[in-house]
Amino acid sequence: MKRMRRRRSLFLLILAVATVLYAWAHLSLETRLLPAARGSGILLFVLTCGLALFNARKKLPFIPLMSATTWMQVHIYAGFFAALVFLFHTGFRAPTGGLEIVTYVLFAAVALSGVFGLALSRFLPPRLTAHGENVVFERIPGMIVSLRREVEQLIVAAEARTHSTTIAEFYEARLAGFFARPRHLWSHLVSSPKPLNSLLERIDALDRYLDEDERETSARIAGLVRAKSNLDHQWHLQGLLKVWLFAHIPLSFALLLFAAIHGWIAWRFTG
Amino acid sequence: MKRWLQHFNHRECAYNCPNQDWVCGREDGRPPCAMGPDPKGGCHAKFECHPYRDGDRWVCNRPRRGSDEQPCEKGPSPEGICGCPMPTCSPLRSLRSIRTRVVMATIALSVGALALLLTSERGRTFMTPGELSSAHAIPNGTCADCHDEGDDAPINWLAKDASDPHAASSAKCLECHDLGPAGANPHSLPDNQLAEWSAKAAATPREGLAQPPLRIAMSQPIAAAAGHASEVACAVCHQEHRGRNHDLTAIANQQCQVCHQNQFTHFAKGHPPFGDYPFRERNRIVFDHKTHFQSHFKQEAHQAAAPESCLACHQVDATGDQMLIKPFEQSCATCHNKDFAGFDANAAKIPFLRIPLLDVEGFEDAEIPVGEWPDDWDSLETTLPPFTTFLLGDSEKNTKAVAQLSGKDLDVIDEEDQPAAADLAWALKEMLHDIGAKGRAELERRLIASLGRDLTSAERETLKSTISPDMIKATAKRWFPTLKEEIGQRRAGAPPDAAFMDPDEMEERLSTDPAELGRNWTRTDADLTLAYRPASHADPFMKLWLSLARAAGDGSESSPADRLFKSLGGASDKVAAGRCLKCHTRNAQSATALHWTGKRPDLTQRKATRFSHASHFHLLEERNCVTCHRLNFSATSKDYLAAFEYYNPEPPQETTSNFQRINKATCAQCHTRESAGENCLSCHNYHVGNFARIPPGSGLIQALPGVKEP
Repeated sequence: MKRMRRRRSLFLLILAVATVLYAWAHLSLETRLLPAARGSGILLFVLTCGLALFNARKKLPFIPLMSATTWMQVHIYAGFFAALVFLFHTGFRAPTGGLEIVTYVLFAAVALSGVFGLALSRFLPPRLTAHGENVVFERIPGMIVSLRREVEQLIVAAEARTHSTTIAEFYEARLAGFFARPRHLWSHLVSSPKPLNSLLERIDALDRYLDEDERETSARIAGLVRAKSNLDHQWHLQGLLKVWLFAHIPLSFALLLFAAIHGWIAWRFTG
Repeated sequence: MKRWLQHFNHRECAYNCPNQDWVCGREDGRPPCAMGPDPKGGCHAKFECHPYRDGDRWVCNRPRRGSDEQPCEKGPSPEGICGCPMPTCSPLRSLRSIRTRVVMATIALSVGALALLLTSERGRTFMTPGELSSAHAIPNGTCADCHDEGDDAPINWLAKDASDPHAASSAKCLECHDLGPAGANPHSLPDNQLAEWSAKAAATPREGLAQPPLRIAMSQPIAAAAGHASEVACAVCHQEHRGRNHDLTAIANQQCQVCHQNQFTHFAKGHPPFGDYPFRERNRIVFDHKTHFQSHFKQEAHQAAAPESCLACHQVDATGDQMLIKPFEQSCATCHNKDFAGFDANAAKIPFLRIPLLDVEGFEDAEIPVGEWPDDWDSLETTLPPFTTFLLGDSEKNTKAVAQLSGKDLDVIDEEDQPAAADLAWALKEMLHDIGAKGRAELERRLIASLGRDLTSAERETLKSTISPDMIKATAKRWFPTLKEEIGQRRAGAPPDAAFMDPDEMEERLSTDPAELGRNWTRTDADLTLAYRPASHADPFMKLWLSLARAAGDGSESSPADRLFKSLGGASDKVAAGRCLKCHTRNAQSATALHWTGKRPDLTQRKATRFSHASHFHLLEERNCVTCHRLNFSATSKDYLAAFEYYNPEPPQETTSNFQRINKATCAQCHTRESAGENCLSCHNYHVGNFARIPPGSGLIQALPGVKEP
């Protein structure tokens, strides 16, 4: 933790120094009527390319070029610096040309999705850890199937023993959909226990119609419902941690293409 | 009850491969099979293991996972085939693979969109880097108006020559915005003038800071690295494509100051004093404010006509910048109209043509043929008026004769001057004859020859409207009845002998009373003079001939043009003919023109400093004009008028004004950052020189009354 804090302080210091230096250089160029926009444009493009290299680095883990954590930290702070350079480059104005608008929107979308992803990576893991059993994301669909089968086997066995279809009918009416796939996205995102409590209350309410044997089965089903709810929680939150990259990475490549054309045309016309 | 769903050990936990493109698609809840999908997404799971042979037996090598036993109960068949067949699945794309495909699709979409936009006509609009400012948003304007490759598809822009794009774009700017030959220079000034200004600034005592302002000081290392460009591209300051409402001329004070030697942060503290601004040049119309205010307007006779405020005689021009002098009729006529209406008409006559008394007896004795010449029948003059000598300047021979006889009494000619006098006599006769015969064309020919340049259309029109050749023809016939025959004989090589006209016949033919010929012309037979009498202010005849004489003169005071100018401008300040130059001055910048009006806004002139009077009118309720324009009590009228000596060939360009210099502190009361602002461009123009602010012929100038067309 101490090491992490020291590293964060170092990066923040570097970011602050870079910001001050850049602001000085930009204002100096503007004051001297020198092409400040050209300088900021070149720097911005280089920074964007450098930020995109982080994705390439992830695909080439065997290259011994600093740890992934360091790359991540550099990516984050360089991203903030790029956003600052972007604001200077645009002159804190909204563009009016088609190419400029698209490039502007792409940069804003990439930057905002990056900030969103950073926020997710800071807030969701503690919630995942605190909530219950952590499972590998890719295994969750299989586990859900496994739980569903287990529940169904319990119900079939109970029905064979008690000749009562109460639990089976309850399952069909209330639980089949719940066990079919991950459910209650928004409730899990806001950590609301309401859907789980609702199901458990209904199972409790069912107990008055059950005999002793069936109550035991009902209790085991309630346990499986809790397990399924945890799997849903893991699925939705881990999914969110992965899904934001579906915006961030593709838009980054689009941004590089549009920015390259914008830069090339600007260079040809303004030198 | 805590329920653990996931176990982490090598036997109970299958290895998932999320980095692969395909993952196992088993839906039975069991862990992914150990075989895994092939790279193309096919499932090649058939059996749970591949038995191996140990001697003559096949041994099960099923991996132990969860509750699965190893080996299985069935075991391999005798042929070595696994006894546990496995259902195949439909492998699923991994999340990573889907993301990669989304990335590829996005790249493809972007490349496709860019290719389409770069190669299509419509793409040009899309690729345009933003809306033009309202000043340049011309209807039907195209990119080619400002960029050579503007009409090409955007793909060609990528291959544009970028060796010096600023110079190329500036050249396009200067096609419309004519900033003169040094348009790309700082301030559009020629190098020598820029150096002169720099030297002047260096010599001016500084009121600014000892150290440059912080922002400029901080940018010093950048400036040292970048150096100074000898030319400044237009786009350095005027950045286009930033939207309709973008101010193309917006620039920070510090940006102005980086090149300047005197740097400061506030107008009140550091800006150089105004010096003699705005009274560097003398007035175009002489008006001694001090004498009028302190003497004339206090006289009882003039008190009623005395102006109540400055606006009685001054009005703001159409641009709002300059205060103009109202027309004569509104500002001066109340007192000065009698200068034109009430003078002695005879005294004000300006002789245009005159037949002098010549020594005809001398010609007879010397047998020099000059034809008939009038006798001194009443009171003929013995000199030629300046007008006549000016019109005789059409040939070298005439000019020489006039010069030789200049100042001499033509009635008593020495023997050596007789040939010149004879030439003069014939020159006068030929002039009268030719003007009568050829009309205005001959008059114009003589003027062109005397001036050494063609006449302007305005001059021709004024000439046409003020002088009638028929009047000259009739006069010539009256004074020389046999003129046509005599000229015919002379041109045939047999000029008639010299002889006086018969006095009795002259007395019978001519009249002693002046004859009014119309258009202010008077013919007086008594002295054989055709004269003009100006009748009102701004007489076109006077304006034309004063201007022509001023233009043709060489300042020698002996040339016909200079003599004419002097006779028109200063024959006597008691008569109208001599009063024009009492108020109208010579152009200090040009030796060839006179100022017929007060200063007008000149759209071809952009000075370094400007002031908008109209913007300050709202202050007049509490602060009248005298707030800034205070009478200069220390200077006398003589000091003021010294700059307006009529015939000084080199009049002083500077004058002692009736007014005190404008005090910077007066402006600084309001022009602070918090109040009226202290932007450099509020009072200064960057581009300085002679060039049109509005393109000539645009029609905009005609919409501005009182503004001079460039």
